[in-house]
Amino acid sequence: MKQLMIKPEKCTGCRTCELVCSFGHYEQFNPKMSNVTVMEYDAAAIAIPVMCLQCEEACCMKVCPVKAITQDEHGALVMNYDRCIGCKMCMNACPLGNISFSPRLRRVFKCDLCGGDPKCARFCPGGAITFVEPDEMTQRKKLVAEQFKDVFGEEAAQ
Amino acid sequence: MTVKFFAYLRDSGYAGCKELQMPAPDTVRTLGEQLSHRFGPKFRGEFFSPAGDQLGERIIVMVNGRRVEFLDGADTPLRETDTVQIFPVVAGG
Amino acid sequence: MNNGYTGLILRVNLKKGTIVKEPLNMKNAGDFVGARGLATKYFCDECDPQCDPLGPENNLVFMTGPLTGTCAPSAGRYNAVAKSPLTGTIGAANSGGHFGPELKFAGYDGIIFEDVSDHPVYLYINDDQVELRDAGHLWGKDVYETTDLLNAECGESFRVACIAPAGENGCLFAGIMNDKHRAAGRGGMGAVMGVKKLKAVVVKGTGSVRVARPKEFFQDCADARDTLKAHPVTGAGLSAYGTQILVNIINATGAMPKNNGRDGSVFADADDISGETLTAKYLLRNKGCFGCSIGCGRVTDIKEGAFKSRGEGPEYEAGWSFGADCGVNDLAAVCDANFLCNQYGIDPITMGATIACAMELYEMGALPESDIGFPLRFGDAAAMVRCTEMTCKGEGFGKILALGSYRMAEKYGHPELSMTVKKQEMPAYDGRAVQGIGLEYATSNRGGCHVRGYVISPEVLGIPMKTDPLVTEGKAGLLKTFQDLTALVDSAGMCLFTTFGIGLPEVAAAYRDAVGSDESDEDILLKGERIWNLEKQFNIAAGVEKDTLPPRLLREELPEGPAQGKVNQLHTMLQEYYQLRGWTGEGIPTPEKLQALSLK
Repeated sequence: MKQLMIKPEKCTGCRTCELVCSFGHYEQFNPKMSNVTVMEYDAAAIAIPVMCLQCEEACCMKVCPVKAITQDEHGALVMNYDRCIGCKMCMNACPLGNISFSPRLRRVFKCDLCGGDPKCARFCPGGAITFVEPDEMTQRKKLVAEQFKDVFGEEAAQ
Repeated sequence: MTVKFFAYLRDSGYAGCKELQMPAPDTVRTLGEQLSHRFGPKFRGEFFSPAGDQLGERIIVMVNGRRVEFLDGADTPLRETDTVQIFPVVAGG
Repeated sequence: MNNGYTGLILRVNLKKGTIVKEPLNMKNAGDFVGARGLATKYFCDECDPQCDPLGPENNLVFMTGPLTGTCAPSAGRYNAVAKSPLTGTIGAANSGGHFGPELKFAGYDGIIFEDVSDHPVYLYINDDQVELRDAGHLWGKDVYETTDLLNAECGESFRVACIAPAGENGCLFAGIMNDKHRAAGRGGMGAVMGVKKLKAVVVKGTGSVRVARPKEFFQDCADARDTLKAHPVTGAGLSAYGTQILVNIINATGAMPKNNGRDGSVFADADDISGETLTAKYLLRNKGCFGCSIGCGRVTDIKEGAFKSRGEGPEYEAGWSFGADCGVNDLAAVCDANFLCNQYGIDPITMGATIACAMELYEMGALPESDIGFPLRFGDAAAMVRCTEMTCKGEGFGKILALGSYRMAEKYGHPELSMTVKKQEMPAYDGRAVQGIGLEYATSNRGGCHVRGYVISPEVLGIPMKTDPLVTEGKAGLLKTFQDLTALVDSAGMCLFTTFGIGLPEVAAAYRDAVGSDESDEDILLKGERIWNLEKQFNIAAGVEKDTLPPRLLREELPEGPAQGKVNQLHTMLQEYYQLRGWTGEGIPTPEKLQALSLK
């Protein structure tokens, strides 16, 4: 099952993810309605995309009094708005702050992995957000190894 | 003859240096062959088109500051006093 | 609205203190697209071309485009338009960052500022809540201080566009800075803001931008983004090295003016100030403007030494102006001067080129040392930074530098040594070594400028086709197309840099599906030509001088390099250019042309 993976060192702070997320869900461009938010820290020279990471032990799902949050076949914790009563317990329970309330829509919202093809990952220009199988995460190890290879392995390259 | 490399062509895996001195080959094509032999397939992939007969689309080769397209292309002759500048395609402003 | 526009603009009268929300003129939006074009249309309809640019009659218009705030690639731009106090032409300065999109999310396509306030104010926009607030406590603060104070006062998610002391003090090339580091830089729009006593505009919005054909639009944008991603320049080169990557190739072409162009255009130490060196020595990270897939922005840190500083940039033009043009090979000094420009809100191209001109005047003995207070020779990095700082703060000789090189050189009896067209400094490419860019400088509607028609792209970089920089043949037609397309791209709200990877078909498709039109690509490009002619009409009515180049480019042969012995052959290109534009031999649009473009 694929996971969203964040590499802040690759984030340029362009907020393309916010745009494509709001568009994917509402056909509007509105960062305030996006399930992903980019936090920019000028002094630290870093930007970090933040979104729901689809916990295995999901507090939001456990706390919901009407069982409006369920896990879909892609591992995404999704909202059933027919059931949701807008109590915002999930917002309060999420230890990561990754459920928000939209004053405009009058409802809570969170990342749903776009039904298995998250647009933020698809369009992230810098590769800061990727959607990968957990075992693909060893790519990071491989990258480091490749750097060693490039530096020390010149004979092998010829 | 002096050959200068720019941007990522200076990285290891490509030229691995900013510039080098070498005896002038007869043409730009021969220069490309010699450098590709020396630096390996990644460099060749940049310098030559996939068919190997023309310069690649991702490279800019200048002889004394003139793009070879406005000289004799890959057949541009080279002399000992020449400076060849090799860039990847770049832009800015 | 569901057509890329919000449908509302703000009209702010700074003298009366009134704020009116009025519907966007959709007829004009259709004809002039948005941003640069639409702001110019509003401006020309309401302002006398003969007005004093530093007087109350000069409006200042902020305008976004229909694509601003959407997921079209790099579509986060707005333009600031007014009559330029530097050139007397139409001034249109374009900036990225996040300010423009935020204005649209707040519900406004643009803002028109009329008249002048009698005390410092800033405009506060929080969705529907719009008010003028006192800015007495902000006057005199630099860009970073002003932005931080306003974020503390209004909330940290507000986006800020502001001026700093340079704009307040009337530096003729003061810019408007937004998001701290992004600049509507050229032509002195910051000085216009200063005269209006308008310190800043702060904006926060929670609304949406909607387009006419969402699914088609999204597909257009996805395709364009994929194309940009796959392109070696927009997908890799610009993000890795920034625009400073140009230093070595422009220098190799023999086109990087050295020492105010006096000593030709081959700078022996070019690699010391190049993008490669910047990346290796000082780069912290790259940064993208709103919705940008390219990310050419630099966050740069000079950790030690005499020029210890931190900021964003420099980009290529500033790298050249403070570097080769001043004969300076110390990249840390170049960065420091550039950061000062950001902090104090001035255009680094004009700044560096003005210092270079002062250096030439000093070395020839026309500018006495007593006027400056210290020696000012080419290559003196510390003196260059000192001059920048004095201009930023309006101190001593900085008050003369703040006039730009033309007025300064005229004062010292040598206006011909000002490397300007229509009193604005030409940027970092020698028109003797690259013929077409010389024609661009001469004909640009805002004076010496490369980004009205960036023919460096085909002439040096080979994008989208390769043309020989030393020949004049075909350059007039090439330039016309580039100028018209650029006017369209600027007006749509996209960044010009996208055009290294995509072209008219992609831009036109996104425009059509955003606004819901069925116009052909040619019809849409015609809007660019209409905008170009509107700007030209304004300049003619304003009495702007004719299209020409500094005598140095027309008469002094390049002493070395691949273009040795060359001058710019403007006369062989200009008449053809006028003909292709449908203008008279004097460069005036004919009645037939104006009618064909529905301009009166």
